[in-house]
Amino acid sequence: MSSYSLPEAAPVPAVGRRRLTANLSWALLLSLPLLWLLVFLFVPVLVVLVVSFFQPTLSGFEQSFTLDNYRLLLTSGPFFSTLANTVLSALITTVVTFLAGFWVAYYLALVVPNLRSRFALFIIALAPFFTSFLIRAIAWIPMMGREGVLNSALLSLGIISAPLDFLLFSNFAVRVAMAQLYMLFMISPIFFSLSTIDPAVLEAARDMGARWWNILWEILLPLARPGIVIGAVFVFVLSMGDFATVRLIGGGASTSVGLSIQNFVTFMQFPQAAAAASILVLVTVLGVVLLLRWGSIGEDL
Amino acid sequence: MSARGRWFDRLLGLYFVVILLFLYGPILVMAVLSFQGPQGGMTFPMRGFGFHWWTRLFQVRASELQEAILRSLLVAVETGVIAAAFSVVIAFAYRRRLPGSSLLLPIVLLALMTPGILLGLGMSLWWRILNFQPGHLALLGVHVVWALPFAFLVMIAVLNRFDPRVEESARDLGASESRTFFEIVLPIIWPGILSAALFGFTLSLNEFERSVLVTSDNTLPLQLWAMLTVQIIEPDLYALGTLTILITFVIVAALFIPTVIGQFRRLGGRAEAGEE
Repeated sequence: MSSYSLPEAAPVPAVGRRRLTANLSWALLLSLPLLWLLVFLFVPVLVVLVVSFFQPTLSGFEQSFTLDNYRLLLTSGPFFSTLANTVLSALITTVVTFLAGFWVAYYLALVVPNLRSRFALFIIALAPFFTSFLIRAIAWIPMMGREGVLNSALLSLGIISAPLDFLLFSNFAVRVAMAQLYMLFMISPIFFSLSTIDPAVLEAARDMGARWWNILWEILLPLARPGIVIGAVFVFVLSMGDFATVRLIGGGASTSVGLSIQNFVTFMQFPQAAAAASILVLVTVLGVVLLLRWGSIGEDL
Repeated sequence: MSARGRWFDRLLGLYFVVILLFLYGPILVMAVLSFQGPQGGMTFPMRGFGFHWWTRLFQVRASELQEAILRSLLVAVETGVIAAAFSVVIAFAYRRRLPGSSLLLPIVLLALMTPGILLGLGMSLWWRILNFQPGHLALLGVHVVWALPFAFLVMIAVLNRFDPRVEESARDLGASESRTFFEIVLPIIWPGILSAALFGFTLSLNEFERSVLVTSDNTLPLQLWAMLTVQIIEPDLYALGTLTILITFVIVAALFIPTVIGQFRRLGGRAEAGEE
């Protein structure tokens, strides 16, 4: 049991009224952050949707309705392959971070013996997340380049006879880097849901003769499912929106919708950028809905 | 536990080390390469060893970066303070189950999940429609939106540990609501508020994807991006990267070490005893 709260005492009437005024002042205070989110989150997202239907002009847009932005994007082959590549990268990153990250969470939550070292190791694994995203992306360049660490190691071990070119400035490199950059978003939620499992349950299963794959398949995975779904949603959404990694690690060899949005903005083509962003959001939301549905189907069984 | 289980656990321990290498490896390689000799390039081999690029960073680049660093620090401090204050308000409203407060969590998570490029684009278009100059307020706006979910999660964790009996007794002894909050609750949760603020500070300091379309005045990550995409990059960039990562690690350590130790003093003994 991990709850430290006590049942609440029945309120005395006088306190009840005071509680009401207190609640009222909290509600008033609450309007500040909500207003902030309205101005800096909800309206901007809505504006993107609206502008995607505006007529582009040379230096921006004029406020007249058109579907041309969507028509141009959706009939252009390059945009489709960009979109497909973005979705593929996001899916691969999600699956890879799950397969690699699950065992990290498992190790931290169920193998490390005491709470103190568990959290210490978790924070050590978590720390890189707070550092600059850009810097971590740059740091991949000396790892993966033609003369990079990986190629040199493989060459000196005699595994390859000439440096591999696909290690940098390729889709492969982008996906490896994204897996590294986003892995923590997968590990943390799975770690938290595995941590809530009572070790006695596993003990009992083992005593009754369950093998480790029975335990994994019938106890751990179902109990960790909420964490897995949250982690998958995080990683999928983040990699769908990525453009910095694609630009820095992919060079010109990789594309993403995020990068096309940035290019549109560079050329002041705001309505096209907005239309591309809206399509990106639509596809992302679709992916998230599918993930969530898959998550809840498991719960019903 | 069986011998097989122990063997499997050891394998997992080894695997954890491999993953740590995967997470930290590039950073370490970058740190080593920042000590390249003057003739050295962006990758191995090392051509000599020395502080050439570090001195270059402080002597040549510093003036170029100074403005961006100051701007970044200012936005980061503001983001930390605002995100911490907002997270206290939202977390308390959430805890007190105000009407409609069940919507707060999805709203906050939405802030977390909105792709940076989308938010940045929306912000720049919105400001354009309003005929505002892109700049500090828009930048601060999106940074707070990014930092708020993390600060909120910290506050929820803090309030879960907070013993409501303390609050109840203060009220029972006749303290007014505001007095209870300012003299009892606030001092107790103060370390939590501070960590929420530091979280916000760090996230803002390193924020790039939301900022890039929003402002024309460079913050440090934006300046870095400009250097990366426009100029020929040199190992002094590695020195800069190593430096910012070191600073972030110091902040993270300062954030977590006292909270973790404090938490274990108070509760860890109980939880660990219960686990055995």
